[in-house]
Amino acid sequence: MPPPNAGQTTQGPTAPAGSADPSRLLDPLGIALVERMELVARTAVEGLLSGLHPSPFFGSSVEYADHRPYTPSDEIRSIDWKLVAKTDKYYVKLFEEQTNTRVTILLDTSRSMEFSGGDGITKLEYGRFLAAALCHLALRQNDAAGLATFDGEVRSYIPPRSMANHFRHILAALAQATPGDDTRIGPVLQALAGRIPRRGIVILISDLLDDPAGLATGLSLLKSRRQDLVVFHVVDPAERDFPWTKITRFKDIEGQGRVVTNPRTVRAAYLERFEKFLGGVRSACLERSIGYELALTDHPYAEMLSGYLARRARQTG
Amino acid sequence: MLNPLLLWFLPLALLPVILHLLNLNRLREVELPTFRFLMEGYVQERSRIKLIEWLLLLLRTAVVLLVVGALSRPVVQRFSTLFGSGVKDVVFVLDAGMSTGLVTEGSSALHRGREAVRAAVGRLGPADFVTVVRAGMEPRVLHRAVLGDGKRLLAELDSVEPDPGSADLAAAVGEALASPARGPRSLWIVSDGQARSWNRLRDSPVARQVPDDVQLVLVDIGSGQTPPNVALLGDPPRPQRPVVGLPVELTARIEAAGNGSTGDDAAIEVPLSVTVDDELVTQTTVTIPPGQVVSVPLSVVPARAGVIKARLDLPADAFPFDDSMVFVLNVERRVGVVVVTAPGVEGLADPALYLTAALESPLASLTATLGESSPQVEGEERIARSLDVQVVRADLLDERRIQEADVIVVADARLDGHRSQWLRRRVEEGAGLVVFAGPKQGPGEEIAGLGSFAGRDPALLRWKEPVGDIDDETGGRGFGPVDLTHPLFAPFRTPAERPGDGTAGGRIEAFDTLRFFRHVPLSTTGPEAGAKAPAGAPVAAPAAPVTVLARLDDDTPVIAETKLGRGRVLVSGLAVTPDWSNLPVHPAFVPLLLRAVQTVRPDPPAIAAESVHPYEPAPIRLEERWKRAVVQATDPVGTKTAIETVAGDGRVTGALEETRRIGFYEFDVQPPVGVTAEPIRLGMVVNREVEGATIERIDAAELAATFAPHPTTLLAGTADDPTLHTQFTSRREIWRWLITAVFCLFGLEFLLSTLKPPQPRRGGDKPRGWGERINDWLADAVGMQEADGVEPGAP
Repeated sequence: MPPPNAGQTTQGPTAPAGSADPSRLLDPLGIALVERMELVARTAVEGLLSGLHPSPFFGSSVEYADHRPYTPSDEIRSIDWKLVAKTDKYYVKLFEEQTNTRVTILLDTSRSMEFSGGDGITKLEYGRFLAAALCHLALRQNDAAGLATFDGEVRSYIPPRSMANHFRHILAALAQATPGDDTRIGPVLQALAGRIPRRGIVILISDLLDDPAGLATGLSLLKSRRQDLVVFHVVDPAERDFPWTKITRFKDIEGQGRVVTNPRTVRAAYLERFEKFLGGVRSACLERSIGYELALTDHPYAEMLSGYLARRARQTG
Repeated sequence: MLNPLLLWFLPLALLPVILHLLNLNRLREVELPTFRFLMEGYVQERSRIKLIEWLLLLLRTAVVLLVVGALSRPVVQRFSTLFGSGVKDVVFVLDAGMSTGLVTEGSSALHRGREAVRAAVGRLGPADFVTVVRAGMEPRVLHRAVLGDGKRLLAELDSVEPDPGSADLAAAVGEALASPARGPRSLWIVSDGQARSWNRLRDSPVARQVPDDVQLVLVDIGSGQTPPNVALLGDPPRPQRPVVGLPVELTARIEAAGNGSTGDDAAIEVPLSVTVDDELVTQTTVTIPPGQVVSVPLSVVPARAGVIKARLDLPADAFPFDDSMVFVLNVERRVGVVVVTAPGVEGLADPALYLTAALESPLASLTATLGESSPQVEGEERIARSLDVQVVRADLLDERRIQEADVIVVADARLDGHRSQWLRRRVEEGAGLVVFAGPKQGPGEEIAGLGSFAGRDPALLRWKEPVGDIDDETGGRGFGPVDLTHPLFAPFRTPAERPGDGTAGGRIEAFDTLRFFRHVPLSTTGPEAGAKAPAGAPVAAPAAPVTVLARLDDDTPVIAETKLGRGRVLVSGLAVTPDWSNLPVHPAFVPLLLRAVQTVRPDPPAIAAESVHPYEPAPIRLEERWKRAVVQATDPVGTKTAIETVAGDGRVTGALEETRRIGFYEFDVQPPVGVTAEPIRLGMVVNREVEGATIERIDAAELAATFAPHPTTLLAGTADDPTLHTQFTSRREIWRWLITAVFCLFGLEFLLSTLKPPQPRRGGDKPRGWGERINDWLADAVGMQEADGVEPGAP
């Protein structure tokens, strides 16, 4: 299976699509395209190292924040002596702390992600490439990157780390992620919310085909934990366009439902409902200040990602 | 009607169903993550979708059926609704007028009509009620019953032959519609469109009384062609009392139809044959210009007394019914005339000399009197030649001669008692008597010694004293007014002297030179014609009236007529002697005498019509004394019919009503008991009513307009357009329509396949198109609700 950039701007990967070789997820052109970008948290994130992201703590960065009266236990070096000289009072100068962050990628590996409406890649494969690129991007900017795969439950969890060889673990986990059970995003997000204790960046890569109420609950829970949440809504073009014209037996990929019908007779109703679904998801994200990006699998993920990061940078900037 | 072999392909109609079932197993299967959106839409529109899918299946099945149907070259029955299910009441009026016998293109119109009815009946069911009315000169119901196996009807149909005259379609249609309908009724008029019949139908109220719910079908079985046809026209020649041995002059009228089809106006030569008693007596070739009528004089000399059957024949042509004409000659024997003169009179004074000369007069004398071109010449000569004259002296007259005589002329002869009795009895039996006065006649004497004329009557007619001096040539008298209406003087009537101009009497120019120097006036002491009987006259035996026919210029009655018994008596006070007048040598004497004999000639006891048209009553009249006679008629096929007679007005009359057969009829009259006479046989003929050689037809538009405004279906079954069977069996291929229907179904299928789900109707939207309306209709048909605002994706 070719990578999402196939035929667009990159050469194909050396490893065959769908294989367990992690290196196939390293799409050189895709990596190169996003490597120049930065993933910056839009909210304050907690980190151990100095980095690109604003920290909730005041530190020693060059960004002035405020002054406050000196209190015992404050470091003497933090006293603004110039101000003492002027006011004869002791003030401590506060600086914004810039720190690294923890980027946790939640990749949906439910059965619905295995869908491919045409000759393109599956949504899961698309998600793999996207997740790999994001991990690479995070690690490159000294952020910790972690990965969780889930379907009806959390299938694997790699805590965020910023070590150099951590990327291999993530790639291996991505490569080994297989389509699992039905999607239940709500409970999964609730479960992961407890395992991601500190404020960081949580990136959800999923088709979001779940109970809308559970999805909204999970997103709200993560948001309440001060997570900077980004949702990449992976959609296959066939799902959006419903291109079938001949009588077809449609089967629910995650259930038992099936129906034989003439697609032309139901296409309009389907599209109407699907558009409502997309609009609903987008509205739910925007209402909760959650980053939302529609990722169509026929659109090169690198372009999609770079575009998103650029917009995000402008909004943060 | 389908080609049965191709019905094997009908199971192909299951092809769409089979393909559908096969495709269910071969369908592409798509595992769709967004199945729930599909399912929501599907559930909402499932009814509509199912309806459309069923419609599509039906359409595709119909397409296959139509294609198979089109390949099988189907045909439809034009009259499928008429011959469809349910008990029907079908009435056929079959024109059997004489014109339907016209043969064109090898078949007659009647034959085509029979075939048309036969074909129609063949398409009816055994429970259908069928009426067949034969429209001839009189309508006749051939069949009015449930059809059953139809054999009886077909047998009746085969027996139909053309009538001898025009069909009375109005009566036939009235008869056809007379009975109550037993179901949906259709009236079929199968006719050749002969103008006379249809004009009569058009003028009849029947044409406007066809009920609205009656389906009217006109089948034109005629022909627009005008085949060469030569016809004998009119009535057969009617000879008046032919006498054996005397030539009977006849005139045949022949017409040749214009040959409109070829435009050939060359004269036609046809032989005309006269057959008497089955023996060809003469044949003449007649040249007839097309479109004209030629009169051909013919002469037949009957060789015997009695009924002679004769016929005129032309060669048979396309219309044989007007090529022959029959007629009869009821030939009487020659009239026996006995001239009784006084014995001892000789030479120029003998009246017998003048009487026999007049009765056997040559034609020259007649032409001298009446003129060469006078039509009376021929008649007088015929009378003269019919007489068998004998001259007998009064003393030599015997009873046998008197009994054999039909007319007795007594010229100045005195009869003794026996001879007078013989004469009286013979006259009372019916013989005619002509009595001339003369020198031997004494004043007041009984005329001819007959005494009182009825024997029981008072003497009504007697001689008076002779008047005039035969030596005084300046004192002669001429004729005064005469009764021009009487047959005796009628031939002398000039065109200016018309009877009925107010006066029965008049002067005759031919009599102006007659001079009577001496004559015997008549004493008419009895009642003259129109006068009352004298007082005291026996009431039980009224006197016969005396009619004075001629008077002299001094108003003296000199010629009178009366009856004695059944015999007519003509008495003349003018003598047949040159001494008394110039009458015996006057040219008017010959016709006067011949007419006198003809007038008193005894009538036959029975007289019958010699020629009638079909269905006309043929009357027969008998003497009153034959009122109990047995009269019987025999038709051409030997069927005997008793004729009822009715006595009245001094006559006994009867009539033969059944005269529908063409040919010779005979009346046999058996004398009643008490009447000594030979049985009488009279001939009579019935001929077709031929008006012309050209059979005029009205065109199809006029046929249909006859029943306007009633809608009619017109079928052409003429000889020129022999498509009747095609129209009748209504074999009309419809494969083109089926192919068109296939394409229509394709279009409908495309429309259904591309229908979009109905959109919610909002106020202010632009008007909905027809596609949307169909959608709405389908949605309404399946009870589908509009989108109910499901928000599948709203978290």
